[in-house]
Amino acid sequence: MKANKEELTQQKADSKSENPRFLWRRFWLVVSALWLQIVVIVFIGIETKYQVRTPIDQLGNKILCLLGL
Amino acid sequence: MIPDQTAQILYGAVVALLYASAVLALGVFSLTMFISRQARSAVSARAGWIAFLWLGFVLGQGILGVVWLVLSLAGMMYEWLVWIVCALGWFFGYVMLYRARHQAVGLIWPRFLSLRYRHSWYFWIGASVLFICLLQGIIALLPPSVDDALHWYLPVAKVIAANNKLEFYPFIAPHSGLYPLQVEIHWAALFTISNETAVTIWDYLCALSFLCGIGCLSRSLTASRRVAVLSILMVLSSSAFHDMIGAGKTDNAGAQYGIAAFLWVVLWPDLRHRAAALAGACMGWVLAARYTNFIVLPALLVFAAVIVRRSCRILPTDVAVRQPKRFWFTDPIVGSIAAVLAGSPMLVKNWLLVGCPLAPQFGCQDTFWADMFWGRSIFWIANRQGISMVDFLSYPFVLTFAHREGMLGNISPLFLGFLPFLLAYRRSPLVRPALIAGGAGLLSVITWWLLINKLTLFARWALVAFGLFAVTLSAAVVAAEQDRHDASRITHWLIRSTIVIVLLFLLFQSRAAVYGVRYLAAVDSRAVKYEPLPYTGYDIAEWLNAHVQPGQRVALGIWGGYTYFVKPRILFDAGSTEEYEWFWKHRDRPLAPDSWSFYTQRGFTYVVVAKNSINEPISGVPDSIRLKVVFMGQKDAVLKIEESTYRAQ
Repeated sequence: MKANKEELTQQKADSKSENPRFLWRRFWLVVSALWLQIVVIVFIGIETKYQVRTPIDQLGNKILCLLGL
Repeated sequence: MIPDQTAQILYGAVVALLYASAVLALGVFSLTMFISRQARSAVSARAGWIAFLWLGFVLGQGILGVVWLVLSLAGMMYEWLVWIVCALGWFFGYVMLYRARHQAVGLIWPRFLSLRYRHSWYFWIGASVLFICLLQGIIALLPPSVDDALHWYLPVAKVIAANNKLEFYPFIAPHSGLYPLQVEIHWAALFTISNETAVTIWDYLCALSFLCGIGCLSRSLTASRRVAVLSILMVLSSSAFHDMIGAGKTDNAGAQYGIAAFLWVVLWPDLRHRAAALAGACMGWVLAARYTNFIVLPALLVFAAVIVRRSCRILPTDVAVRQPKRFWFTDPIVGSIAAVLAGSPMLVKNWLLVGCPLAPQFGCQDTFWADMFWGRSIFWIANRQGISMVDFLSYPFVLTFAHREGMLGNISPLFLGFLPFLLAYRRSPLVRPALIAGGAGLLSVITWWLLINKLTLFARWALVAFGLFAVTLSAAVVAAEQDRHDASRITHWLIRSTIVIVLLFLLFQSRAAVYGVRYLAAVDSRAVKYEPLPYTGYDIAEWLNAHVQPGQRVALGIWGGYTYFVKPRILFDAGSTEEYEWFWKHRDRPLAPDSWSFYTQRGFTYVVVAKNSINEPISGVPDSIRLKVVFMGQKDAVLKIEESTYRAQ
């Protein structure tokens, strides 16, 4: 029974990896998530560039740099 | 001993909260009177009990806006009268709370207790959003510093409060009073009973209310709290929204009515003509808050048509529950009448003030103040400038990343970032009901692009449209998050890490809360806020406030500083419409030889001019007067006109 279940899971995984539509969709979603991250990081870079005016701003900017943002 | 500044700020904040509670109570009471108990249950079932309260709050603002407008036109905007209306609200609120005390405790307390067991990812997003909103509240304690607010929106409210009357005031930018004042009239009421902090905190509460409305609309369309939380984050992370919180701009508060109109349309199949009437009223008020909000109208009509079609599809056979077809024709008529009734008081106001209902855009064009109004050129109808399709397609990037003069903030990067998820999940059961909101937002933006082509980059003017987009896009991302089949673990983690980065960035953007605390603790004065700005005329205004005696007139017509800083009693003596026409015609040569007779005959004691205009010798000064420079500001100087005792001797 257990072996049967494992076989079924394996078959399901194989069918997933062979299905081009599934692979394409999965790829699209990873690219979308990367796009999201790039847009946000570029936005933050541009925003902070315009905002460093006072000591508190500079401190905030340093914290952002430390966080890698 | 509490410093005077701290006491004033705390007093203003408390008054704003009390005022908001009165508005909420009056609105919920009106709503309870207007719709039946069954309909109330339908609203709560469809959008949640918070939506019912929120709709009440917006309705309260709309109704009170009309009340304040009538009182101010009648010259009766008295402090005691505003307090009486507030007291009426508290009374209704108390009665309603007392009646529903068991129900309220039963509804709120278990939910509050259940928070202890909620530790989902979206719960933490919601908690972070709440914390950031709290920081924004501290920032809202600071004095407003946005140019438009100091130039137009705040002075008109302050002057109405000081005079207890709305008139055509030439000494503030004359056409300010002719703008639709649905938002500013509340500020006038708050200035009447309190101070500037009450106005900025009220503006903050209206911004929170707008966020709440986005959440309610999301939930009513998708039945998902997760979508509601994410759509709120999307709007909150737009600097065009969060930079304007408490800034004295009307956009955030005005946008509430737009979202409320859409929510009422969602409730239309359940509530029939009552929802149609309230949607229409909200549409009227959104126009009464800003004429450019007409871009919402076509979107609302299409949205309503889709809701009707969907409602007919859901119940194809159940004749008993189905709406008779005639309702779909009569209800829009009811809604249109309500929209006209809600929006027309602003036109009546203009007609009473200057005789031209559509001024300053149309009519009264032969007046001197019509030349001061720059707004006409923004419309396609006036400039006839087309915008290419390439420009239009690049706007999402420009609206997200660009820093242009007058933009006053961008849209959140999440709008652009979430877009590919919409393509992937457009057929998802969670996204499909929300697509209608995105479609309405797109239609609104296209209307904006076609008709207000000169200011397409002013994202704050299209907050309703972006709020609608947020509903659809956040539904797509929640669908991706919930998808354990197609979306890989990498996708989930990338989405979550990006949201964390956005929250951290918002935290960074809220650093001005430090200045808010310093201002509250009276460590910083108002001058700290205004003196570093490029030009405000704050120094001149402070000098005039301290030195001008009652009865002395100051010629301020040529001055370029913000009249908001000057005491109303000085402004009221600063000139009539006729005198301001003279100032407008002589704005390039205020110290010309022929001007002295004007100043002396009209009894002006002080003249405020640009510093560079007194670099050259002043000619034509009659022997009977003596000119004295009494104050030199950053860019301007104050001249005093005295009778020449030397000559007399």
